[in-house]
Amino acid sequence: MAEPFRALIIDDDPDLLMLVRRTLEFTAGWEVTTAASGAAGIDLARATPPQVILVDVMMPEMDGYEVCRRLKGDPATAAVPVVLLTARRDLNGLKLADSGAAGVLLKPFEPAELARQVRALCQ
Amino acid sequence: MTALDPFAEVRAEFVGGLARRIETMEGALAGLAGRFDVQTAETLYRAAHSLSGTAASFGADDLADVAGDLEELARGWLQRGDALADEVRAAGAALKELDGAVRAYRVTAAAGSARSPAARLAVVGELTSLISAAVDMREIFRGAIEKVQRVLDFRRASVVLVDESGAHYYIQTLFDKARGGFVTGDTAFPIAQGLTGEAIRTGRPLRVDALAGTEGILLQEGRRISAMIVPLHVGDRVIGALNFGHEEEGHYSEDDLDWAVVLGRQIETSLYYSTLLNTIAQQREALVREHASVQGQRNQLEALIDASDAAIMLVGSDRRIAYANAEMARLVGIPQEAMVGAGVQTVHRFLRGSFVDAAALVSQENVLSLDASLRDRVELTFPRQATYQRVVAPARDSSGSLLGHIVLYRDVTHEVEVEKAKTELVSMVSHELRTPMTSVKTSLALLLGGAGGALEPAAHELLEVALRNADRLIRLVNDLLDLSRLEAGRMEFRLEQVALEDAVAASVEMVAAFAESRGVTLRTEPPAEPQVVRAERDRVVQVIVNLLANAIKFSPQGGQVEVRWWPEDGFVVTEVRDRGPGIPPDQLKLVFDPFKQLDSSTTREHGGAGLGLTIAQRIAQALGGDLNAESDVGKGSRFFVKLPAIPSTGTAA
Repeated sequence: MAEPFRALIIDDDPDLLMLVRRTLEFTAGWEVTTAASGAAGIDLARATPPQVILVDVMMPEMDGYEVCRRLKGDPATAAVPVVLLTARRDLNGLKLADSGAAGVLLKPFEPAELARQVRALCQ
Repeated sequence: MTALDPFAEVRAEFVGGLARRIETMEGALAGLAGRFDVQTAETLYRAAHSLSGTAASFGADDLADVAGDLEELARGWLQRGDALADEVRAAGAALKELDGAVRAYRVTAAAGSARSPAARLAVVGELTSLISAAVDMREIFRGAIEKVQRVLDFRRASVVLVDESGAHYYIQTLFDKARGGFVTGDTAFPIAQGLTGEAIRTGRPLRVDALAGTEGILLQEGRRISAMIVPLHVGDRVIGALNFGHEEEGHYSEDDLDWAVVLGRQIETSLYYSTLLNTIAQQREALVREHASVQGQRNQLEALIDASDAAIMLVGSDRRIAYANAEMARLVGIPQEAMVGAGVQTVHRFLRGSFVDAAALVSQENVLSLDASLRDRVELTFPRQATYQRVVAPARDSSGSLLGHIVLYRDVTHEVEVEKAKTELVSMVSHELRTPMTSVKTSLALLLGGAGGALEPAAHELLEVALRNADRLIRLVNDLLDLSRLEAGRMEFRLEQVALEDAVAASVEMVAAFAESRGVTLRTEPPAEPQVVRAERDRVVQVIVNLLANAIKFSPQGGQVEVRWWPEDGFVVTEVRDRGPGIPPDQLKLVFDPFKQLDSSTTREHGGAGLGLTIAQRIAQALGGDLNAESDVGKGSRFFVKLPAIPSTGTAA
């Protein structure tokens, strides 16, 4: 059997963290790890780089743009595509362009479609 | 002390800014002494030009003269594109002279040139606001007299009013400096006698240099005194008089009388405008009705303009100011009396310095010379840093010919802030709502998908209802946010070339499942030539999806929905047609009204929210197009989206 696809999710909302994890596990059979803050997520990504990282934009302390920018700036994680998750429609275009993210997914997402959409953005 | 003098503030600002103005000119001149360049010469010219204008309006004639000389010199340099060494030296001398003139002016300004024309005009301006703010007649007269003290010397000042019989006048308000202020007096005097009576009878102002004896309110023990009596009119009726008395003989000049008359006019006008007119009118109803003339109507219009918190002026077709209210005078920075009759060029010269973007004033100049209008927002720095809504609109007479323009500025800083706060709130709420909705929806979807184990049919059914309604809630929130952003004009579009064929295909794909569930077939009829519009692809798709979903919703089982599009007069029109029940003519317009559909039972039956068509129409309009509908009851409806076309020659490449 092939290695399962490994994703890291960074979100400060524990409910959403659990739900996104379960959705990706359940609908796509991915192997998902989670982090409740940007700093924890970056550490985790550095230790074991996943194949994709999903980051919530609106987080206290370090927002998703910044998390993404740092991941892209670190040789250990620079190659991992990062997808931003946000409920806001008025995205900060400058920060987004600067972050180096592979793409943005708007909340609420369609659970059955999530894995496919993430893959599409990473291609 | 008396209330704050707004003019003093402006003057203080003018005085305070003088050093900086001179510095600017010195800097420019030093630059020009080294090497001539047009930009620096222009800086000098502008500074001198603005100073000469402003100084003149503050009565600083010396300053204005010297600044005028500098302006002349710099103008010559700009015309010739060169400055002679002698001229630069002359300009340097003029600047030194200017420095001296500034000092002299500062001294007089500080010493309080209370009787300068500017100070007097300021008092006149203050009276207007005082009087229109006061309710009680006595309060008005007292306030007026207190202010007038600053610009006219008197021992006694009073306002007398004609009584109801018309045969006597009585002292309404009396101020006596020797007796420490206002004193009460209710003595009545016959109009048939004395100087005050004469002024009231003839309606003409009087000045007396050496009045002997005991004239009414100007009673002085056996001395000769000076007096001025200004009758007060309402309409063409004299209602009383404004009196000034001084214990010195020959104290008042003709100039003083002119001023007393101006002040009297101000009180009259304000009396006429104020609610006090009603009191007077009640007493003399018949007379007032008799005199409700054209002049009266004009005064009422002016009163209306004066009462507005917006700055308003009427610019005649002769390019002179026909009328300006106090707020406009404040905005321009010159007294209201100086505004009327002034050339629009002069007013603009004063305004120029206030504009953050000089081009915004140029657009006003242009509109004023055309039969055109202008509506926008401008940033000004004077009299306060603020955002103004500007409206310049042609004014016409009853026959429709152009009389001039109305220019209006309204401070909308607060509105702009509120708008901004509202958008931020909407955005914040959108995030706050979407986050829990995401969790609800995802949980339900996972449960329904079997993530929580196998489900009983009843549980499955209940979860489906919950999920469907969560989706509906999400749609409604999204719609509301879209609508709020469209209404605030804050929906931003990333304009691009959108191929209609592609947008229609994407839209059809999005509603395919819905159409299938309703047993409706979708038919697309592309034109012979591919059509491209200038829009945002996602928004075009949003509009077409809305129309398609609507058409499917109202189509009978087994019905057909058709989409076709074609070029038309610089636009591409896309038609979505259904064979549903149609919409009665009286309801056709309402389909674009937000929430109109929400209370209709048809919609509930068809399960839709009422915002889709409204949003689609607003988006089409915001993109420079439109959306409208035609319908035949029993035959179906046709919706037409019009979007700006990009000519096919441009897309051939």
